[in-house]
Amino acid sequence: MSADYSWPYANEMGETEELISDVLVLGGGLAGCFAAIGAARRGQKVLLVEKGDVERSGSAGTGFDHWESACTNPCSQVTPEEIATAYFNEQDGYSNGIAHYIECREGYDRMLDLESFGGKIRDTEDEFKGAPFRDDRTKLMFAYDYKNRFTLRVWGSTFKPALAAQLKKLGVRVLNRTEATALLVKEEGRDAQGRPCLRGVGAMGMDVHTGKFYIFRAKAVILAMSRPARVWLFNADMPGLCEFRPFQSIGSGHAMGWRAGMEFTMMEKSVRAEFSASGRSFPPYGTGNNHNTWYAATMVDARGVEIPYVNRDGNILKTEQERYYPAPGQKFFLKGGVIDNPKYEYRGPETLDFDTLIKEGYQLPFYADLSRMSPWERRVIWGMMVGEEGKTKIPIYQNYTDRGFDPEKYMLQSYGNGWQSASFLGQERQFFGAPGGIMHNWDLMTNIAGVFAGGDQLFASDCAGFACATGGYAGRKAAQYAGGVSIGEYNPEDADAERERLFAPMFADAETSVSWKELNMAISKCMQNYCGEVRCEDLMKQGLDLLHSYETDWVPKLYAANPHDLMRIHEVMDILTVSQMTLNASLVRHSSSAPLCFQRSDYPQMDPENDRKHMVIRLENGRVAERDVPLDYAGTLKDEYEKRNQDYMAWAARQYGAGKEGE
Amino acid sequence: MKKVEYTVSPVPCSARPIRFDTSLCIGCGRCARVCQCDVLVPPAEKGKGHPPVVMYPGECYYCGACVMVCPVKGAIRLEHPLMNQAKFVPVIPQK
Repeated sequence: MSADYSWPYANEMGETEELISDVLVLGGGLAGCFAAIGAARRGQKVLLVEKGDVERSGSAGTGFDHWESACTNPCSQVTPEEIATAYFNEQDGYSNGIAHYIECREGYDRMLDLESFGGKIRDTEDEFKGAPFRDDRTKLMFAYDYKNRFTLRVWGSTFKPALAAQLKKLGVRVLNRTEATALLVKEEGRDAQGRPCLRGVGAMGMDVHTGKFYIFRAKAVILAMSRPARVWLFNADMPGLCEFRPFQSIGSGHAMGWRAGMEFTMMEKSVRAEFSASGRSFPPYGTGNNHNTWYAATMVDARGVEIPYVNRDGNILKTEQERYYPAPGQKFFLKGGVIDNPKYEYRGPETLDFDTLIKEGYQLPFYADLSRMSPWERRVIWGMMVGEEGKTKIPIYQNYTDRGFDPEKYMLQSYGNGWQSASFLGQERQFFGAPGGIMHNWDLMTNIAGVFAGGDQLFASDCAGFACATGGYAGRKAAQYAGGVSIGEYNPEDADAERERLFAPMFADAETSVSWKELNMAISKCMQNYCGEVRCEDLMKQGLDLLHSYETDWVPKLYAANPHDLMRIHEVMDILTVSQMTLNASLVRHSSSAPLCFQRSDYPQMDPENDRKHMVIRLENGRVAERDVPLDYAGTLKDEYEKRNQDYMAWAARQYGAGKEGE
Repeated sequence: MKKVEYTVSPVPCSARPIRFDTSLCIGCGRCARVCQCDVLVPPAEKGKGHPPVVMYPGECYYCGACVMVCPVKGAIRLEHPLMNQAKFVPVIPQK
């Protein structure tokens, strides 16, 4: 078979190119694109490095359907402070006050940006004129809480091409098909505690088609490379179906940060797998359910008996519209990607829980039956939300329609015990539900000076609005930083070592080799066995030993025949690094924690007051170092934000004043 | 660093996520260009009727970008594996 094919791209193995920019952005999803735009708008020379192609890459490459926490839109009845604080309290403080506040405060500005770039955020064709979730003056459309109107339904499939075009317009240089693999960092003395003062001076990477090696030198670097995946879950036959986010988004940004000495928090947090995992689930948003994209679909049981919605007090809701309004005496409710089983204060309308339904005699299987809904709600769920949400336009909306699905005539089956569409074991885990990530300050700068982060690389991230808002903010702050420094020198030995690391698999012996898939399978099994639902010191140390043996004995046997294989190998090496980081983070916390979904059999006490803090870890001289940071380190959100962003506030008032009025 | 010749061959997979209709494909290569998982590889022979090679079908994450960017309706079909075909049934009239 191989004789019929030859590598279709140039062979640039052994070639090195050095590129210099003011601001270097790693990752070209929503966060990376907005980071690049934020920096370029401030006159910086920007280089963006993307492993896929920015036109459709990232988690929202083919769309997203609702934008959370856009608290400054003209119809919003809530303040940024209210919603950011609610998110923080909802997670018992294990949340990201800074980033969520930025999302609440600037998210709508980024949405207006997208509209000005050609993205669609309003019902300009009056398709839903008169609908209860639409504001007929601004033509904005809302989801979840129709009273408070801070989550917007958007046409996200239009966003990535619009962003790609805008990057071009602003003169951002984009390197597609190029993986970023390591940061270039130099040590500039020691701080008062004797810790090394690190400064980012660039990064390195490889063209995944040609094998050319890159050295990127920059004054400031922004990490926007999503979060880790494939740590516990892997399927070698269909690896693309392992996880929810794009197959190649596996946490390389985390791994390179960790190797460089970057600080991380909450990496001990993981949740039992939810969906889109190892092919066991059905396609996301492709089964009967009433969450997220499908909120608040009418659900029925096998007999056609409607499943009741109840409010937070357990009172059955009689009308469809009540599903979209807070309970009596409640100001607003929270719904969305990271809101699972909210506290009473923020709990919105919901169908009775699964166990109660079974106990009360409701019969499986359940279905989503949109035919019983008003035409507005039916059409907005099936056709707009399912259609605009990522991965739904073709594999769900178009294909189901081709198969004859008509929401007026058919109901769609549910699987599993809720909206996950499959059931999972405790040791089958994912970084989901606002997981851990990079520790940062109010500038979204990491402990490595000049290295910033945005989107899913930040700890406790959630949705697309979060990615756009934090990306733009990081870009702006990086531009400011870059304006005050010059290009730093890097150590050529670091580049030599990275080049050797990256290309070693091209020289391995194919006959005695191991594939990236075999190593990924081994890592996933190791993590299920030694870093599963219940953890303890001895178990986790054995896990670290096993991973270490993979590193020393098996990584040298990885073999690649071309740069695509090399990229996959580099990813699995990064998954190995992230797994080690996760075990180390778990070893550091000597208690169990409900909000962190973290159980230790040797330290069963749940959330003791002394341990209610960020246990921030980093690698220092090959050892794991830890420091504690208070959960409320962000301070008073509004005050701290306004102290640092007067320039932006003045600029935004001029730029978006009219848009905010809905003119 | 020594240069090594690159080799490639399609990786087997139990599913066929992407199928081309060669009678419709104009060979523009836009699908291969936007695929963020790098599943598709340009064919040896260029032009009309010569779609990319589905080199890494298992790495498809079923986002639909290839179909969305394709200028010819029906030239590419993206479909989840059989196990992922969710069931739908006629609605039961409300009592």
